[in-house]
Amino acid sequence: MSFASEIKSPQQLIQELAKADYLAEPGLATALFCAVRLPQPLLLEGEAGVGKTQAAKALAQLLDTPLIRLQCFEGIDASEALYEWNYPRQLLSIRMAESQGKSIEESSLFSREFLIERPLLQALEHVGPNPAVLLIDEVDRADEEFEAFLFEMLAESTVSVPELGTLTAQQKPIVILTSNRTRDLHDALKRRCLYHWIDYPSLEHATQIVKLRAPKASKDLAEQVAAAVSRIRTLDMQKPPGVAEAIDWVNAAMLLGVSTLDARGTEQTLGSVLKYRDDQELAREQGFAWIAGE
Amino acid sequence: MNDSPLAQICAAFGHLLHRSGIPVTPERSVRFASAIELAQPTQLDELYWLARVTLLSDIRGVEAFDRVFQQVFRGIFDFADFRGDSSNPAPLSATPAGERSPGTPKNQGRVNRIRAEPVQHLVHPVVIAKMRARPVFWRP
Repeated sequence: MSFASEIKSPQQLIQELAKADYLAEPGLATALFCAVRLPQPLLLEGEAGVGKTQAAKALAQLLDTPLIRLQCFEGIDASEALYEWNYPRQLLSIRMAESQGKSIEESSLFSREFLIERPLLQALEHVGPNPAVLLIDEVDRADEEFEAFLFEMLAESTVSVPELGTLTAQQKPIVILTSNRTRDLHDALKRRCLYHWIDYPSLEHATQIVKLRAPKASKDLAEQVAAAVSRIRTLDMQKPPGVAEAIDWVNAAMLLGVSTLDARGTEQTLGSVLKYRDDQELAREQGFAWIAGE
Repeated sequence: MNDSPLAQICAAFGHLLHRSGIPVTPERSVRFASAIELAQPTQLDELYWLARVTLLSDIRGVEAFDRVFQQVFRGIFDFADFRGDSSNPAPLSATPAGERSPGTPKNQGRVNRIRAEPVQHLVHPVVIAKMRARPVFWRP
C-alpha cells in the first residue's frame, strides 16, 4: 500500500491487513480506517492480551511507515516523551572550545545538533509518503498532568521548544493510544479521540489467528491451544494469556514434540504461556485435564 | 457541518445519544458525518461501526448506544424503498454482525446483510421523511 489515502473503506483495510497477516474484525478495521482517513487520534481499550499494540504494528507495516512507540509509565514527563538536551555533548563542546582557547555562544549549544528527539517529536518530524504511526501505549499508567500535556500536543500538532521556537508537524502522525483501563482517562482527551473497545476474539477467530501466525502447527493443535487459552482466561489470572501467548504456546508445543494438547501435553508446556508463579499455581489447582478440556 | 440531510441526521442522532447519557458533542457528530462521507457505508453494520467509533467514548455506554441506534436506524436504512421492491424487508437487530458488545449473549446480534447500495440513500428524502415520522427522533 503506497498511500494512506488509497484506503477507501474499512472493508478494503480488512483485506490489506490480512495480507500483513493481521486479522481485523469490522469494528477495529472501522476504527483504524477513521484514524487514518479523518484523521483523528484513536483510543483503543480492552483487556490485556487482546492485541491493542499489535493493531498499531500491523497498520504501520501495511503503510510501510515507522511505528514510533511511547511506552507510558508512572511519572513519565515531557523530557522522556518529547525531547531532551544532550547535556554530555554540550559539556564536551564547551571543553573542546576551552582547550582551543575559543569562546562558545550559548545559543550554539541549544541548536538542533544537541537536541535528542524522543518519540513524540520524532513522530511530528517524520517525513515520508505516509505519516508515522505514533503508538502511545498504556496511557492510563501516566499521570493526569502528562495526559493534559499529551492532549495539547495532539490538538496542536506542534511542539514548543523554548530555545528553538515552535516546531510544527510536517504531517500529522496517525496516533493510536491504548489503555488497560486501570483508571478513567480525562474527558477532554476522550472527546478528542475516536474510540474502540477490542474484545478478546471469539474461539473461532482466535484459532484463525493462531493458524495464520503459526502456519506449521496442525489444525488440531491450533484449535486445542486456542480453546485452552480461552478456558484459562476465565480464571482470575494476574496476567491473562492473550493471542500472543497462544501463538507462543503452539510454538513451544511443537518445539517440545507435543502434538496433542491433552492433560500431559498441557503440563509439559504450560510454562510457555503462564509466566507468573501465582498464575501457574492457579492453573495447576484447576487441573491440567480441565485446561485441556478433557 | 452544513444543513444537508446527512448533517441533520447526524446531528439529530447525536442529540438523541446525548439525551441517553452518552456525552456526544457537536464536534463528534461532525466526525460521524465525515466518516460516512469517507467510507460510503452500504450496509447497516458498516454504518453501526462508523457511528460507534466516532460517537461512543466509553464501553460502559454501549447498551444505551445500541438501543438508540436501533430506535433510529432499524428499518430506516432499508434499501427496499429504493429498489422498488419491498418484498423482502430486511429484519435488523440492534447489534450488527462481526463483533459482539461485551455482555451481549452469544448467537445474538447477527444482522441480515442488506444488498449493497450507495450511501446517498441514507440521505434520501424517503429516509428523512421516515425519520421525521419517528416520535423518538424528533421529540424535544
